[in-house]
Amino acid sequence: MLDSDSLVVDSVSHCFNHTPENHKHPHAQVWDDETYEMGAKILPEGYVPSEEVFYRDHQPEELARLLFLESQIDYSVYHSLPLDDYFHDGYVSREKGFEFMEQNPERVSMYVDVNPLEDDAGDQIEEFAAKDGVEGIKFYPARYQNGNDLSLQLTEDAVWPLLQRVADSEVDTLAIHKFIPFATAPVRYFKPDDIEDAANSFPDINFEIIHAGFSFVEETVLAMASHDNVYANLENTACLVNTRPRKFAKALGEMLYWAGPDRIVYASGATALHPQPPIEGIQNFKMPEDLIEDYDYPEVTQEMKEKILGKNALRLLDKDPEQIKKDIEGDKWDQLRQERKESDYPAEPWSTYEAGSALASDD
Amino acid sequence: MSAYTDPYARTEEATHVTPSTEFDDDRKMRIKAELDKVLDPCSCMSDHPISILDLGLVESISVDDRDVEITLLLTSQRCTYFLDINDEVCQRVEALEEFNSCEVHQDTSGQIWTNDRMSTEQREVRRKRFHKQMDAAGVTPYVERSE
Repeated sequence: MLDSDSLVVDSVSHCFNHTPENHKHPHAQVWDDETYEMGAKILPEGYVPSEEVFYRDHQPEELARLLFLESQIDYSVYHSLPLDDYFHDGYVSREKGFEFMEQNPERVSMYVDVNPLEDDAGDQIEEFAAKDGVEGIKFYPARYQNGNDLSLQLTEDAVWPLLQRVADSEVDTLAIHKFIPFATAPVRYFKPDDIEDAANSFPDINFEIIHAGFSFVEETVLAMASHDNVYANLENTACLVNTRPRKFAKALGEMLYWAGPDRIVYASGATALHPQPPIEGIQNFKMPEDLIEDYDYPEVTQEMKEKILGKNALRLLDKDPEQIKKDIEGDKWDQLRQERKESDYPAEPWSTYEAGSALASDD
Repeated sequence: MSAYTDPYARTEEATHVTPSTEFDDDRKMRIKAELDKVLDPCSCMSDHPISILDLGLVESISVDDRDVEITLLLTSQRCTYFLDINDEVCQRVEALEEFNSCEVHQDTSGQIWTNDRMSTEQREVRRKRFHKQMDAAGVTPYVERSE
């Protein structure tokens, strides 16, 4: 929670499995290593996990401690990932997501991954969307199959009919990875052009574009400014506020200038990244004077920061902030926070992962 | 917003070869002019073809007597059009009467291509196109709507 009493909502968390046993494709190790190296580049000093902490099969209990004791996050949306072309469990398993949600029903929602190429993908969407706590469906724009990188952009014949299934389902949000290319898939799959077509044809679905601001910023703001149902999810991008502040300022400035502050959501990207630095970075962020003068970017007000750090996400999830506050007041995490408030909250980065740590033994 | 100001324009002096790079050696200027005629194959598939010089792919030009070496920093290390670019660069440079041979290398220093390597002129053209797209989509900037 912020000092202003406004809730902090994390719009993407994951329990990654970075163990060699999880590798299914020769590029999986590279993927693991590049994920680690990205964190090392975009996290401030002291927040990069040790290799011992990073290269493991992260568990829901570890994610919960990381989010709720090492950061100000009050509520999180777990995204499972459909990358079973590279990793046996998809890289971030659904099972761990449901476990995380069961253990923390007042603090966690979930977006469930679906592979559009599976025969029963439409039925999976309907089935998962009907489950308690599931608030969205997650797609990826590419898949490795039969030796090729296939496009799974929303406009592909294999994907487009599934948008109607999402529209007909009990969830109203579709999140899709974009902007950070992976493996050998062509860069064009990671541009947001297909989002515009989809947002236009399916006005009742909210399209949450993950990693917005990392690249293709102009294309992103065009999609956001011309479609009210396109949201920018700042997973990974939020970390740039500390380590690439000019890049962050320009991306945020373009979004605020063209599309306004109501459809931008903070995300931690934990467990790959530490959740706390971007929260503090956004709270302390000030749009540089020269960017305001040269490009007419607005000042970033406290109200805008509260929207980005929580209020927008709760609106997207259709959750009442006051109800969430009541639901989490006095729960296990709230009690642990209160106990540690004077000396050890937020806890030192990754300290809750240490074997036998006082915090770990609280479970 | 100041008319078509480009927030992604380069703010520091370029270390690679741009259309405005001046060489004391006239021969290098002629090579540069030839490189400005080589169009980036990917941009040719869009409606807005631009040269490899404008795109910021030319890292360096070196001349040793009658032999030329050109280093390119590609937008992707796996660019499948490298051979086509290589062939056209060599063909154009070797057609200049003062040179015997031309070799094209990929930059392997580890640096990556970023869009601020594009020439100032082409970045301005691109930004104007962006504003036209916004106009065509009927978009009024949020900051103007909220004033």
